[in-house]
Amino acid sequence: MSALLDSAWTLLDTALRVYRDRPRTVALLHRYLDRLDGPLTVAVTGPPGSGRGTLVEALRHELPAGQPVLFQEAATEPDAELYLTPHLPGAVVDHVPHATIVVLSRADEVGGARVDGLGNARILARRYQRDPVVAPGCQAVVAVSGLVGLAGRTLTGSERAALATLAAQPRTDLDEHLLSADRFVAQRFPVPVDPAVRAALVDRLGMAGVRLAVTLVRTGSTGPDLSAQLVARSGLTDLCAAVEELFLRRSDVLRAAATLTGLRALVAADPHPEAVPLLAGLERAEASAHELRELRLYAALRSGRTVLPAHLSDEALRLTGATGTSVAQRLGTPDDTPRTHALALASEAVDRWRAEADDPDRPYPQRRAAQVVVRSCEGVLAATAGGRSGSGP
Amino acid sequence: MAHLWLDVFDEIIGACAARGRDDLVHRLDVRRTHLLSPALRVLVVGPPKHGKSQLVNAIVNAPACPVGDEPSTTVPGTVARDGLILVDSPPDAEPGLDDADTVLLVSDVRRDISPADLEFLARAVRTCPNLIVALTKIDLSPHWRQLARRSQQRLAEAGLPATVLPVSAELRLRTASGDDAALDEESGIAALVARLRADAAGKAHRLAPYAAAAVAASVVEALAAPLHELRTTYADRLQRVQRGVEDLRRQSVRWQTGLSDDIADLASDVEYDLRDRTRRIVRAVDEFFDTADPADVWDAFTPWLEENLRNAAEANFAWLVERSHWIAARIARNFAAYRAEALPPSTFWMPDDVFDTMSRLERPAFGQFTLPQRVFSGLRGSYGGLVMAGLLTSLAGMPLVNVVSVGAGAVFAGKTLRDEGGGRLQRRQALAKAAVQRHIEDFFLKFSKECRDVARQVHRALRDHFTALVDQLQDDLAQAARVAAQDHPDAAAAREHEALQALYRKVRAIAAEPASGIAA
Repeated sequence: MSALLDSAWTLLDTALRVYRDRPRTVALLHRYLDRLDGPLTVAVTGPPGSGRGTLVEALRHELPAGQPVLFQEAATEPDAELYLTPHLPGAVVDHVPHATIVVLSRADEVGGARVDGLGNARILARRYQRDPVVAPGCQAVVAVSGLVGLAGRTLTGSERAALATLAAQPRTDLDEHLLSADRFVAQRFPVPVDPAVRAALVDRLGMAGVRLAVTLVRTGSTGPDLSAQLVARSGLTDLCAAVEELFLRRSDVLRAAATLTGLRALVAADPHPEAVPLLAGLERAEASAHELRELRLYAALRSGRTVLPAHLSDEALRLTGATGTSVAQRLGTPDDTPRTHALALASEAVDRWRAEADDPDRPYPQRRAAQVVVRSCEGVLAATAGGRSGSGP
Repeated sequence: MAHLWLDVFDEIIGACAARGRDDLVHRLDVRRTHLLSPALRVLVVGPPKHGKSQLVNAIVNAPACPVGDEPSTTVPGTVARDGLILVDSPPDAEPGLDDADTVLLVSDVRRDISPADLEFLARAVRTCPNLIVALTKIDLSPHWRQLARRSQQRLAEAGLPATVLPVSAELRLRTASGDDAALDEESGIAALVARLRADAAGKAHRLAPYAAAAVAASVVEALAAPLHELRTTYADRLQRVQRGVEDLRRQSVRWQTGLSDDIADLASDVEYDLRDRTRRIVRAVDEFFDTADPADVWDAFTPWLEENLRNAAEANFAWLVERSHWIAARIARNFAAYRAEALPPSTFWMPDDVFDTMSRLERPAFGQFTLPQRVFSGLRGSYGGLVMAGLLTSLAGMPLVNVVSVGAGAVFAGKTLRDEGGGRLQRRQALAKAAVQRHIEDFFLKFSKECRDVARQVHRALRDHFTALVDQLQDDLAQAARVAAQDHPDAAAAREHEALQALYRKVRAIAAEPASGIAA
């Protein structure tokens, strides 16, 4: 289990004791307790017209069922955030720290809704993600067309049939009828597909989606393959991967961090004479939240903002818990490794990474990354030496 | 008519130059040049990512504006083509309405026109009545007709005389490569360009006069600003002086009543104080003469009494003086706002002859207990004793006059003499007390009258002094009012005002004439 989560539980207990004489505060604290136990709350924010509703719908269809996650458009004190924007902002501020993904929404309309529009959008998003100005504000930037992704995943049989009929027409004949929505739903049409069906297709996929789908069918994608392709190109797959890796995998840490922030605000708003040790505990927990630093490092490495030499990058990710937070997972060994072996590996890792952190030839961002790894290794060492083999630092 | 506005413009430029307003001259010069030029200046506004830059490109048929997938147009680009000058406004800065012949709002057809944009149009129509709204991206939705109708309704509801034109820049840009007349038609750009060209053609006699009038009006208002400033300060000053006069009048009534009350209080307080002091002396005297023998101590007593009375009088008078000063100071404070030093010089002193006029304390007739009186009293007293004792002893067979009875008689005589002496003492003491009381009463009456007279003098002196002061202050204020009235914005300012009014009327005349030519 996560050390931050443990701190959160402990501090909530302390708070319940401190505020036992104030029923309203106690009720609030119980809400925090419930939330700490519950699914990850992800706020989906953005200006009107950015496609939030569609994206939430698409994510629900796309993520594996039973995932303990809740997407909300109006969430107070969320654990994480998806910030939708039709164009990329200069700097990202005022969002959930260490748990925000910027989504370049309506990616299908980038550059005029052309077929290659989605691809261009992906390139833009990747470039933007590496920008150091953006760095403190978000963990990843993904270009997504919620419309195309949702439609791709939920394509009906009749829609597939219509697309197949359209694709059967040679390009030279069809292309000029795909130039605008008016032309596509016009009465006079070279392909025997009902105007109502065609209008419905445009509403569901958008013009860019229709063009993309027809092209995909023409190049041989059918059935589930077509859906998968549409979803992938819409950027929805990338977004799900990002949500999985950045939010869900360390869900306990994010929930704990959000709870601590909320608890701190609660204590500030409702002072109590006995609350001094509680505040001290909160500060200690937040200052020593190494797991949050691990998250930030993971996001930086993943997005390409921080680059480590190839032979070090995978190991850094592993040691900081990207593939799992147990000692064995961090060290990359089987679960039943004897303790002595684990100790040796861990201390050797500490020494090696300390050398990296102190190496004056390395650029500063790499050294800072190495420091985070060192701290993780020390945690592993302490855990192994202390006899616990199944939990992280 | 086409040149009427030009004449007025030139006249106003001259007026600005004459007043040294080079900034306004420059502003009018620039506008004048632009208004005379046949090219139509179109200010292009709209929210980001609605296709503004792409539309500008499509209109001029060449990629002059950077269309990117990132937000661009941080520098206001100006594109000129075929008699049209398109000014693409940046997203953050306030677009310059001052220099536009036409305002073109670009908005995605699928989204409602934002309240901020509606507000901007409402402001724009005042200086630039030619409004066009281009609804873009009609190629992306088959429902654009209903959506465009809805936007048209919203504009009508807001009272904005804007023409709505649906367009697709994307379609137009595709035709640039090919030669597709149908596509061009569908893009709607041709209709937009035709409208802009028509506006350009009608600029000289339709748009220019109205736009000229708007700029000219705001310039004339700018010229008139200092004049307004002058008038308001004059009005303020006059009001202040008048208020001062009113305040002073109210003050006068107040202080006179205050003074009377204060003096009345003073008189009664001083009298009470004197009464208190004399009563204390009387009590002391009574106590003294309860034991002492006035016949013996009288000569020493009299100076003591005189001294105490004198002290009491001095203390009382000093208090009277102090109180009078306090009253005067209080009144002076009311006038502190007008004059710092308003106190009259102090003219109070205790008249030296107060005590001289009082009668001296007479020694009362104490009388004397002479020897023959004593013998007589003794004998008288002894009689009873002698007889009583003689009778008693005669029972024992002794004669009436014997040693015992004579002895008893002597004892009785002694007691009688003593009693008599005591009674005489008491009588003397009572006499002394009464005499002193009378004397003190006399003193009190005389001195308190003196004090009352002084209080009355104080009252009169203060009243006269402050009345004179008030008169003087009122004279000063009247003088100030006369001076302030003289500062009235003089004839020159009045003429200036007249001149600007005339200019303003001419400006209004320009705007009024092309009645139908403004909104298409």
